[in-house]
Amino acid sequence: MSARRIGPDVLYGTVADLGHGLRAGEHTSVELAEAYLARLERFGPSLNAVAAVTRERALEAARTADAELAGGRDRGPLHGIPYGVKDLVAARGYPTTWGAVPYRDQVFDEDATVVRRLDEAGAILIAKLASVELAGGMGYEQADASLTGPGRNPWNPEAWSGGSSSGPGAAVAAGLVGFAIGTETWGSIVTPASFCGVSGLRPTYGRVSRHGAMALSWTMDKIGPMCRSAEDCWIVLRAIAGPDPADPTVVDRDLLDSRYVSGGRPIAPGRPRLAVLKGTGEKEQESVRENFARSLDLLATYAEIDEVELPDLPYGAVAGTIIRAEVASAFEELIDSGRVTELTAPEDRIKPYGGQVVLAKDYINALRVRKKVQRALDDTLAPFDALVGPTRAAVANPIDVRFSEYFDEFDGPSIGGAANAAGIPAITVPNGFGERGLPTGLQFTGRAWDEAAVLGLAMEFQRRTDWHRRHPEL
Amino acid sequence: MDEKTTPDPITRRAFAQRASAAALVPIVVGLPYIASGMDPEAEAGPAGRRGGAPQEAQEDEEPPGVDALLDHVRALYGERLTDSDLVLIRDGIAGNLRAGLRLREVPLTNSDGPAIFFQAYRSDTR
Repeated sequence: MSARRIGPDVLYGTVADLGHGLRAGEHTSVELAEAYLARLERFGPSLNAVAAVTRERALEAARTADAELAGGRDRGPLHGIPYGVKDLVAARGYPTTWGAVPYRDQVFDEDATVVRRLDEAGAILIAKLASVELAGGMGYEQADASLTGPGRNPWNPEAWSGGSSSGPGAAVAAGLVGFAIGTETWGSIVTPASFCGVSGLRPTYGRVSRHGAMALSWTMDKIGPMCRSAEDCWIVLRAIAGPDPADPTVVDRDLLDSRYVSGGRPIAPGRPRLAVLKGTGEKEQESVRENFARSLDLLATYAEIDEVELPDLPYGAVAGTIIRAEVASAFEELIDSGRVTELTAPEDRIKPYGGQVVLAKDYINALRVRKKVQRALDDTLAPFDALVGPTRAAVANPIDVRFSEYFDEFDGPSIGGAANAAGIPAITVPNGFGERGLPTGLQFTGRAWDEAAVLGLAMEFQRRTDWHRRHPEL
Repeated sequence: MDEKTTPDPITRRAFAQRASAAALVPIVVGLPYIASGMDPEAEAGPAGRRGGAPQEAQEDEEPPGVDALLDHVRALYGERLTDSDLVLIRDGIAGNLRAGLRLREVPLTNSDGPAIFFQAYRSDTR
């Protein structure tokens, strides 16, 4: 039987849409994989979104998925769904370049735990997706900081796709994969998700095993889903979360054991209590302010919204010092060997030297202040179901404009440094469009282990809006 | 409850007024050196303000020890670094030390231990 042609409308579907089509006989997993592979090969290079296509592995897994479904074995909602993983994460037998020239030939003989778990859930790995080199840990100041070139935004290829999970953001937005896996140390899931107009979840630190993923900062790194809906993020999170003997930092806490879960799904409370940081809506880019105001109007129809201030603590200094010290150790060999000069962005070849002389007591002090940050954020968030705000202060920068030249114009309160230092979860969802036709994002940040809360709130927002259903014309 | 965390009701009108007023005032915020920022808009500073190290820190005098640490970098890697590289690295070291000074402004008692995960190891699970 010849393969049926699957149109873009189907390929832009959510995981639930794609799964429904599989079970209704509208397409097979092999047909889905073939269609996504064709789009990866057609659009991936121009977006600089793809590190490697895993065609052989994908088609073999898709054939198995189809045979299992035909035989009555259904592994669940990810069964037969093609996905891509950021190229910081190992997939056996394929290059895992970490987005960086010095590691371009690196191949691991083992799958990362997240890849193995997605295999077990029936998902089909079809691509390794582009990353900013070494997850941006060397201090990049421009989009052109990757082995695969500057990540281009599917909504406007003259804009950046964000970083460091550039490929996952672009590939999900462009309908090149069913969903993707990204990583975040400080902003690397929510930034590209917001810039590309997709839903991206940063889980609580310790929710998802990092075994097999590049370590940038052992006490800050997280792995999470980037999808075309918040509900998809929940589906993927359920598959990848949970204890792993290979990563002792993962905590055994049941995702379903939450007052924000009902019938196995996240739910928003009847009348949620949301917090907004004081000063939000004053200094962001115009479209970001306008779209946030509109989102707030909508939220106010079913939620209570109060303004809060974070306690005055050096959140950025805590996160920055921890990351600098841990990066200096994680990549000492790269720097000592001189191979750091092979990195793409000129500043990435030089800046890491400064990190080599972070004082030990400053690192320890950062870890001590971190505990105060954790308590301060938890105290602030405890009366609320989540904190809500614009994900970024601006839409994506023009691809050839350095970050400082573009982003310095915009400001506003941000929870990002504090939340990453504290290891708490957040989700960004699209909430409109702004300058140069680029998406803006709305972020819900929750207390530790409250992924279901932010997901439930994001799902409720998406039930009342259709921004997540809009797709770029490629 | 901490006074600073007490929520203030925000109205749609108040939000719009603030946003409208802010639009009239151009804001320029510096983005200083971030040695390992993951984030092009990396935040640092009081109350989670965007824009890198806090403005007051940028205006401070240079923290002591910058040249001593730069000498250490120069001793290890000097042969491969140009003068302009060393200027960039020096800026980074100054930024790191400023971050350290910010951390030291937070009162810490002897019982404020670091957030480090560690446990003794044995291979069997008995």
